Amino acid sequence: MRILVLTPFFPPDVSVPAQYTKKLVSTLSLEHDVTAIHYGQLPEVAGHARLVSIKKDISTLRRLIIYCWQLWKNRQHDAVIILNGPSVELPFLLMRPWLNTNALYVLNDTEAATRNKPMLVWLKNRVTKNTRSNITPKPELLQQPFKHPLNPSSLEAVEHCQSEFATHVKEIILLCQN
Amino acid sequence: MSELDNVTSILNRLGYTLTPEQPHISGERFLMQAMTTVAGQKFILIGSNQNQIPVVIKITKDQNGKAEINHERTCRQHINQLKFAYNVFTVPEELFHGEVEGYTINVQKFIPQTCQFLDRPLKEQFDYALEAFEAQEHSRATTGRHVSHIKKIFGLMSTNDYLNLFNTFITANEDTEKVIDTLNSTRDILEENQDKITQYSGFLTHTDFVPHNFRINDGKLYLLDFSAIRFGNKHESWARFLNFMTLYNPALEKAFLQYYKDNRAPEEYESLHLMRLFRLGEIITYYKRTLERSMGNLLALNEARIEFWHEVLLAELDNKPVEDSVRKAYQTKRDHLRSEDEKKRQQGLH
Repeated sequence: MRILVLTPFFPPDVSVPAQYTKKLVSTLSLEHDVTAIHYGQLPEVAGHARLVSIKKDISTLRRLIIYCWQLWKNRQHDAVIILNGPSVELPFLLMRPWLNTNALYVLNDTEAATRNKPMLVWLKNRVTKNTRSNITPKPELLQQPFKHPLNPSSLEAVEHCQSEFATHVKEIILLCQN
Repeated sequence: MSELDNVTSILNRLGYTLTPEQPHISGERFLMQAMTTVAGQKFILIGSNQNQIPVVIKITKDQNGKAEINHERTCRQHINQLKFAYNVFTVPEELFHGEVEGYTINVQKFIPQTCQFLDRPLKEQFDYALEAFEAQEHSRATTGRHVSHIKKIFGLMSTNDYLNLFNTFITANEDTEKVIDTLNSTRDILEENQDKITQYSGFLTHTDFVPHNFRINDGKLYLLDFSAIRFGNKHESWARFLNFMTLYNPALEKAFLQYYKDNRAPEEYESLHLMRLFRLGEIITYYKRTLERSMGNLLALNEARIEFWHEVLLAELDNKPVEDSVRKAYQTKRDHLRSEDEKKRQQGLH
């Protein structure tokens, strides 16, 4: 399956949504052809995924235009995954007529999802209406434990989280295929 | 009347009493001046105010020292106002700042500690340090607006800035045969890997994050020396810390390297490696520059330091830890050559 991922963040960004996105994209890319469009430069390698970077150190308007342009260029995909954030939601809505109808909305940025400025709420509602389904990852999938070099028991939590994440990705793939 | 007497008199008139023991003005303190951040001469004194509250006083009439104190104050005031930061830093409370009789004076509340950082259990040291690094890396300037905001206050190191600075290290060491060859090889590596340095640039970084620049009280880590804060490659902070631990706590260094291998992207590990090389070049140069102001045992000690850090740099170039025997030989020599004043100053420092 060819999957297009639209995300505001990607590592080296260190935010929780950025780390989640990299893990999602990496895992999806193991079995699928994944392209991720993100804001930033010199993204970390994520499995076999192709990463399209939009520079942040330009004006907001230019960034959005370039993001829309990259969406247009990469529109031929079997499924689109939109990770929430206005900088991605707006281009998605603008380019919606040219994108595959199989779109999934992932609310991995809980802070952005709870902002109540009217424009942001409107964007979120419009994206929800223009996607087939939406999914909010469980908190434990977002704040992932790490393998502590001085705490051997931390490995158990890491392995459990990896297993949960694999299940979560399978769910996403099913939603993308439906 | 010495300058210290003069300063003491001014502080007494302002209501501050100095403690009899002043750890920050004895020993090798006279040699110390930061090389790559705003730096000048100043007194750092411990005392108490009229309410018996323990304080740390920075006082100077040196123009560079004043610039350093004022810069540090500006950074401290702005650090928690960064709109793009995800975390808040704990800073000591400022009690006084002003100009008195030509001196710039800054007084902050002293943060007591129950024990020194290096005396804590290893896991605690790791957890506190990791928390501090994560707090720093959660502040990143990426848009034009972020950059213009922070550049004026904190300063911003680009990859070119790091390379240019490294070239000054090379110039300073031109007459030191073995070292210059190693530094030239290091510069080549840094130049070949510029993208890797750029990849992790734009992050808030405390360039002197070592135990004597933070204190832990009531479960909170307080950052000190805000003149060492700037935006740059995020691993610069880690690099300084890990290079320090190579000497003072190799087990902690090893734990962090393992953490990196297990949990962070390979690109991060490479960037960390490059920053360690950079900071090792810096520390060699730092001691090289002390040689002209040193003599006798202190001169021999600083030469031994250059030799030791050169060994560490050679090991890091090979992606290996420095040999235990090299570390121990240096520590023995250092302890033999250190002055009694400096030994006293080092007690309880880390």
